[in-house]
Amino acid sequence: MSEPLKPYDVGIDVGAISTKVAVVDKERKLVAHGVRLTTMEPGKLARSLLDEVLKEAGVDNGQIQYIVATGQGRRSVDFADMARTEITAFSKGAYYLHPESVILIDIGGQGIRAMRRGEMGIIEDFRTNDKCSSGTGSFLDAMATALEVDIKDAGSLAVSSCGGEEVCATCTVFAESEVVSMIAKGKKKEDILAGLDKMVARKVNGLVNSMRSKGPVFIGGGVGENIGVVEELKSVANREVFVPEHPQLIGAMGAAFMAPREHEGEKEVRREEVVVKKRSFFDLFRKVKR
Amino acid sequence: MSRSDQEGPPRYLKDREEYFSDEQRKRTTVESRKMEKRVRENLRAQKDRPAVMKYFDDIHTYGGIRVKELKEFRKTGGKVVGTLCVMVPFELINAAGARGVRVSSGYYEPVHPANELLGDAGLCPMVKSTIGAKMVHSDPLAEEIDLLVCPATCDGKLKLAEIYEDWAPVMMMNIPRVKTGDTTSRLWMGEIKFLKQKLEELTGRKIKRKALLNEIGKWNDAQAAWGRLLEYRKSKTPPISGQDMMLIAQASQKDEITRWTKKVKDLEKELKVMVRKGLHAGETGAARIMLAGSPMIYPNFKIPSLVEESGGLIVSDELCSGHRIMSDPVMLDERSMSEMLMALAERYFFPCTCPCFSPNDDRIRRMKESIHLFGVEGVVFHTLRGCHLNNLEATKIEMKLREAEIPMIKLESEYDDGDVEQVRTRIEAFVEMIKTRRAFSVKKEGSS
Repeated sequence: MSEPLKPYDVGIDVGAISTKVAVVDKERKLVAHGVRLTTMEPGKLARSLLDEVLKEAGVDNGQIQYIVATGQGRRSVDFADMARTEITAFSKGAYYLHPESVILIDIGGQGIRAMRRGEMGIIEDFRTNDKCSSGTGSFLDAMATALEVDIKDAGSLAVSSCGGEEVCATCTVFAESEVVSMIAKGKKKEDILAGLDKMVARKVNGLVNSMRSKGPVFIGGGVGENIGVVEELKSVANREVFVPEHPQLIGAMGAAFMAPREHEGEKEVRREEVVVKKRSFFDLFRKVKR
Repeated sequence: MSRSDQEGPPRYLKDREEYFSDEQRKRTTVESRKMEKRVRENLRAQKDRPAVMKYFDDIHTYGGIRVKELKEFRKTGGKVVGTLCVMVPFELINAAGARGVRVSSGYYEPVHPANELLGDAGLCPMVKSTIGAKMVHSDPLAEEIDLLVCPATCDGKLKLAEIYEDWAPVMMMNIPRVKTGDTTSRLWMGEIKFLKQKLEELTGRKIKRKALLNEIGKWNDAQAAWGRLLEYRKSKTPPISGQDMMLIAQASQKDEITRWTKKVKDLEKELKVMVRKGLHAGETGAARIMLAGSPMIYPNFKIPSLVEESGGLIVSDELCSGHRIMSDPVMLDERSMSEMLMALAERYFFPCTCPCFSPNDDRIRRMKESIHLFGVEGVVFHTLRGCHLNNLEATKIEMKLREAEIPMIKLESEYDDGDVEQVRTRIEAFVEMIKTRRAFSVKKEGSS
């Protein structure tokens, strides 16, 4: 208890496609970060990535207070102090970076998650994609590969388009064959990309609308780096869309923000006494009877 | 009227015995057995589990004691009636001298043979598994039935029963799905009388007034014992997990009811001792969860086990594979045959809040009541893929629960293990959300 707090916290987000490490200080400022593709041994990868990031930033291992893991592979980070789901971590990150946002959208490598934020950054409701990875990072990646475009340039290339094509298929496999047939017809790459981005934006917007709130939207996750999708979403969403500086790192930063700030003891949880009352089953169907 | 009265070739599958390869039959059987074993071991690994629970495990064991007993029973000329729904009065079956078992299947593997025949058309996996198990004879319990009684609740069950006729005699019950007025009662009453007649034909024995009264008494005893178990779930630290409670409820539809009641009473004694020792199920400060939605038939305990592994504890449910089996006793005004049949019809119809009914406002009323009684903090609403009725009702229920400030998460799942990790992440996030809300409301109360 008397021991002073060390200056830094670390968040590690082991996603389906890439692993992100964020080092933050006690003022919730990003000090250092690193991103690498997730391998078959996520635990080892996280360790080596963290060591690398710390070395680059000149931070000593002993200056770290807490390590919090999140993402689908959070359980494989054995050296972490806590593990939280990516949904909780993302909402925490978004809340501290842009507290005005009400709807938080995380478009990752294999999942789209939408959350609605309530008081104090607590999520009230969330939805995720089911079994289908259409519109996620790996979808865009597959399309960029089909078009022989580097995924890093895909966003800016799409923005340069004067008029996008219409992509109808939402399934990754079907969309790819649609894209191939468009190339065969001699359509421009940037127009096809713009069409794909529009499709993704429509899908995300559907999720935004399902959250039943008119508030501003916060976009994060790897796809948030894709300016094409963000611009399309801004035009279809008809409301304020906020994109943070490092969209991909929100989960990792949020995880780091979850580290206890001060020495808070385990809070005693009180609940109202449960009132024990005899059920009256029969009142109901006595009424219905005859 | 059922086709089983007339002899004739199968309607759906002409070469029903040659259609599936031996390899497939064998694989389905082996995989089903393995799955049941895995789920059973998972249940046994729960911390501080009452010792009596082993008995309920044994009842559910694949090809276990219950199957052997039923085999013996049939050898002596006894008849076994399979059911697919909670709306079939077991009292009537028992009064006719027959035994009732619920044969809805929770095994994953039989879905594949059903897919082969029916195509993967987004049908309910429970329907597919039940029919698939019968097609390749992979469920020993379903092999022991002489008659299948199937209330035609949803579209899936309606056609399931029809296809099932190729393998076993089926009696369908016409459920009045619009739950209002006099015509409803009259139709349902007629169906109960028809069931009585059918059962008498099956066993060649008249259902006597005394026998029926006796059976109603036994089942009401069972309801009372169940009701006492529920009291333990209301405590701040329930000594029994939601999975075990569901297992017990489902055992009542397989076991001899007097023996079941006795074991439940034993369990109650054991729970009393556990409470005294301060033992409880789930982790300390677990989120109190209510399960709702589509049925989860053992061994499909995917969702409940994920909830209880992720820091939640199921304190209540409104499933027809759980609390709804035992929720209401039969109320007798008079003891004449017609009055008893009327009372049975009422008990098995009106309290049932299956989404196949409309209007079904009673469901949300009952859910709110349970939420209040059991101190529920969040509702996990599970729909099987293709369960349109539950899917359609989920939105309405979510809206109503939001008014009461109870969070709800809707999960869609299939009969396979493929989505376990995705579902786990969602449930964990839901539990985290409940715990944060709890801590926040404590903070708010403290500051004001």
